[in-house]
Amino acid sequence: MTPVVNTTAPAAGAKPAVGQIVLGTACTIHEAQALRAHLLEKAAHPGPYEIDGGGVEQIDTAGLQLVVAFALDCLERNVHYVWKARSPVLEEAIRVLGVAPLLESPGASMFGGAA
Amino acid sequence: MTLDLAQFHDTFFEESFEALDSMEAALLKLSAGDVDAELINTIFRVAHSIKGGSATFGFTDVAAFTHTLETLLDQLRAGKRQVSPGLVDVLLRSCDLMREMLEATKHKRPQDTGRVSALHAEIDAIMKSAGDAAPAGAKPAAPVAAPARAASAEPERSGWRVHFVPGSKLLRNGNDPLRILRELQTLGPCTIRVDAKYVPPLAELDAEECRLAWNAELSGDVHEDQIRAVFDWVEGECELLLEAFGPVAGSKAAPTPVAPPTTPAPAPADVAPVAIPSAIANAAAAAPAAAAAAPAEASRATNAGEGGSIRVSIEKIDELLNSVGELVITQSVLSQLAAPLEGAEELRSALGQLERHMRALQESVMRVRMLPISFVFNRFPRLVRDLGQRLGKKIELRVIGDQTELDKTVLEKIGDPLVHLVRNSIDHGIESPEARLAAGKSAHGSIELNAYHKGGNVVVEVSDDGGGLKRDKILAKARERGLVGPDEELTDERAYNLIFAPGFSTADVVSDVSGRGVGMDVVKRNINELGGHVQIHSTPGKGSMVRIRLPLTLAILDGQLARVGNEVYVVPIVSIVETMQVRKELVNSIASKGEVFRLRDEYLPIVRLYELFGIQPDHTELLDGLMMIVEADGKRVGLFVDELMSQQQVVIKSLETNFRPVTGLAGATMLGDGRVALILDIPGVITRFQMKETRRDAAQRAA
Amino acid sequence: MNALATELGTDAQQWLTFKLAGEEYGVGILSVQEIRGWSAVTAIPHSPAWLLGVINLRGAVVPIIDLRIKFNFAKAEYNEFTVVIILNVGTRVVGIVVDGVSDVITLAAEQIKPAPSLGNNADTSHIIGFGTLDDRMRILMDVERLMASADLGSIKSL
Repeated sequence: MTPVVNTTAPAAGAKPAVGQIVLGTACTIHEAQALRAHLLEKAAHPGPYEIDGGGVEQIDTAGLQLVVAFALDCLERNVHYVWKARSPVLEEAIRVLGVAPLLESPGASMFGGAA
Repeated sequence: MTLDLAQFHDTFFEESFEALDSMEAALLKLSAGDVDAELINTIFRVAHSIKGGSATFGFTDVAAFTHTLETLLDQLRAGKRQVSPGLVDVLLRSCDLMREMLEATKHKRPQDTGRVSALHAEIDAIMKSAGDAAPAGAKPAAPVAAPARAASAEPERSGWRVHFVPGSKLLRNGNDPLRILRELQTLGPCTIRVDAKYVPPLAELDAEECRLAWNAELSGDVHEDQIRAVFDWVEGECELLLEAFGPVAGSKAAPTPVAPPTTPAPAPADVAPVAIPSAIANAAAAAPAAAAAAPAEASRATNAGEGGSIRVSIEKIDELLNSVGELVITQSVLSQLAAPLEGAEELRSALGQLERHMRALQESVMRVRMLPISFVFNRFPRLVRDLGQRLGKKIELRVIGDQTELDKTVLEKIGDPLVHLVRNSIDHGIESPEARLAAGKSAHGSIELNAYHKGGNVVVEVSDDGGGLKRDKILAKARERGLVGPDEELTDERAYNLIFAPGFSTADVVSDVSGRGVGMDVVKRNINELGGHVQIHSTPGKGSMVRIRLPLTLAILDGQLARVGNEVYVVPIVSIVETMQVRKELVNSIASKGEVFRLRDEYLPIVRLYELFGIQPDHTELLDGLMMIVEADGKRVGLFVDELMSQQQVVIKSLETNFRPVTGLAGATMLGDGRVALILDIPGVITRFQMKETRRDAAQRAA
Repeated sequence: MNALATELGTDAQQWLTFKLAGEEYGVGILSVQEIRGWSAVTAIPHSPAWLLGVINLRGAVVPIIDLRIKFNFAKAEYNEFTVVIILNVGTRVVGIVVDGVSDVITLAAEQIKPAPSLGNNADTSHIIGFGTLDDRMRILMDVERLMASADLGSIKSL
């Protein structure tokens, strides 16, 4: 359970214009500072973004709040993002905290296979 | 005129809180199956007197509620209604509510009218319903949790609206709304709506502060207490508003006795099947007798009016203590004067008797301010049970020595640190039942609170039979933080006590359970401020024990007098490790560390007190004086002094009354000859010394 | 002038006068708790030179200030004439070392001239004014401000 936010480069063949954001296995308060920095870094590039939450194994309010803040920022900037995947842990947290409406993918229709 | 009334207010509040304590105690006895007319009378009298008092002072909301309660109690008293677990539960909740209403009135805060009308309605409904509910089952000494709610026939939806706004420190203190809301949702069908309007842009968001808030709607037969219990952990750290909706209160009151699994006192936390919404531990053993809410300052009577007690202001007691302290000094002066006199045997013998009487007097007066630690220990059965349940751990709590007495002021301040320690044991110490079984232990973990007197101190131990501390992780973290040098080796004891260092997150090092530990450094600071010491011992796999040593009273200290030049200082005995003469081979000079003294296998810095305090000493040669090894915060140094004098109990006088706090000084005291002697504060002395060394090093390097 | 009158009240006020490095000073009689001879003082480490230390005054720890040092007067001596005036303001008790105590005098408001404002010099903020009686001028001190300027209780020493 190394608190690391993966910053893997987009895999070959991915759409070049999409900013890929991969949430690491742990997104808790211990990783919060790093995650925030990572998200800010990504947000510095123009969208749209693709968020991959398929690998999340641990998450708490602090971690999810960062994702929510990122999503709200996108909304405000009128930038699109989609969810590539959401792990069961992530889904449960989203459900419990009631933040699903805040994390809906705007512009899902522009890309295929959004979660 | 207004001034006079206010004076009476305070007394009224004090007495009412005490009366509510006795009402609660009586209710607990009732719920344990002990149906005694005298208990009912006590309860009735409490409600009656609070009603009368509040009406007199114009506290109409309190008076109105209490009046309704009194009517119900009158029914009980007249035998028109039987005691039942459900009824006792309502009464206990009324007791809680009255406490809160009085607090609100006392501090001029608005009442929680929602809650008041809800409970009021419940009571009304009870009174309207038929008088005979089956009597409480007579389970000897077994706390009976209140019954499952009868399936209500209402078609309409009812439930609770919960408004939850985490405070700024909530996340940092290791709490997680995710956990809390998850648990809330186990209570019944629940809709959660998040409120993100206070979430700032990501660039401005503090990653460790929760800016989300929630409004939840919980339907079904849920008790307010169950909801509050979910938020128990974060009670002071969030805004929590509950509002009942729907037909609600009336129907919820219909009592149906049910026997949940009985639990032997003092309430180990069985993991009750979550499906039964049993109302909470108002009925469980040992409701928290509010230590803060005015324990009697005179004798130990826990019930107002029992055994004859009077109320005494704490200033009067302090004055008394002061005068007695002066008497002790004068008496010792007399003894000193008489010592060298020729042929004064009778005089000396009489003075000896005087001294004995004085000590007895001093002890008696000190006792007046002392109260049993049970006032604090009483909150733990519930805490342990709730937290254990929440974390899915089975925990048994043992309490030993709860009649051990300590000074009221110490008592009031020891509660929070103890709560932290117990929470840590439960959260990080005790393993889950599965892990325990896998390790060959019993599924039940146990926590023990033990208090006793030893050598003029009160010792309080918090032990658990959990997994113990992970020494390697602690050392690694300490090295990471620069608290320990990369090659420095530490004894087990020193290593474990590193968790008290500031910024140490115990979670990473104590167990694999995610989440952050509550600040052990805060615990240590609080205890140090009381003049006490705390240490942790641990055996991997077997458990840990935190031992706290506290002075019996804040006002008196066992001191060792030590002379440096013309000045006499008092060193708290509790800080002294040992004193010895300096031998040449024990003194070394190490380039980076200055002078050091070798104590067995440790090298301790030498603090030349005369240098630190700017005094003219008798001796500057180390070999000619004495080395007093003292310890604070796990650090040890050798104090170089000229001479050791007597050991005595001294009355501590604060420097702050007419002067100001001085680092390194814990206060002042009067010696037998009337002179003022300064009392050393060892942590402060060490800090002063370190600062001086740092400044000197910097100066040397700059030169 | 008005401020002074309000401070002192329109009635005559009594002042305890004393000598300090050849000058005569006065403090309001109401702030004087007692007068003592010089006694041994316990020094407090790392305190300013003018804070001599503390004494035991019937069980209370009372700091003793030497105004002669604080105001940089001539060398301070401690002999059989040295007197300590114990001042009591509010809840705080402080002793000041003086060269000798003189009479208690009564001054009417007209006999007091307010101190000229010498800027916000901390060294003179404690002076209320100058009282003249019998052709002698006494420098009248505000005890509260004196204590405040002695930095008592405002800074944690380190």
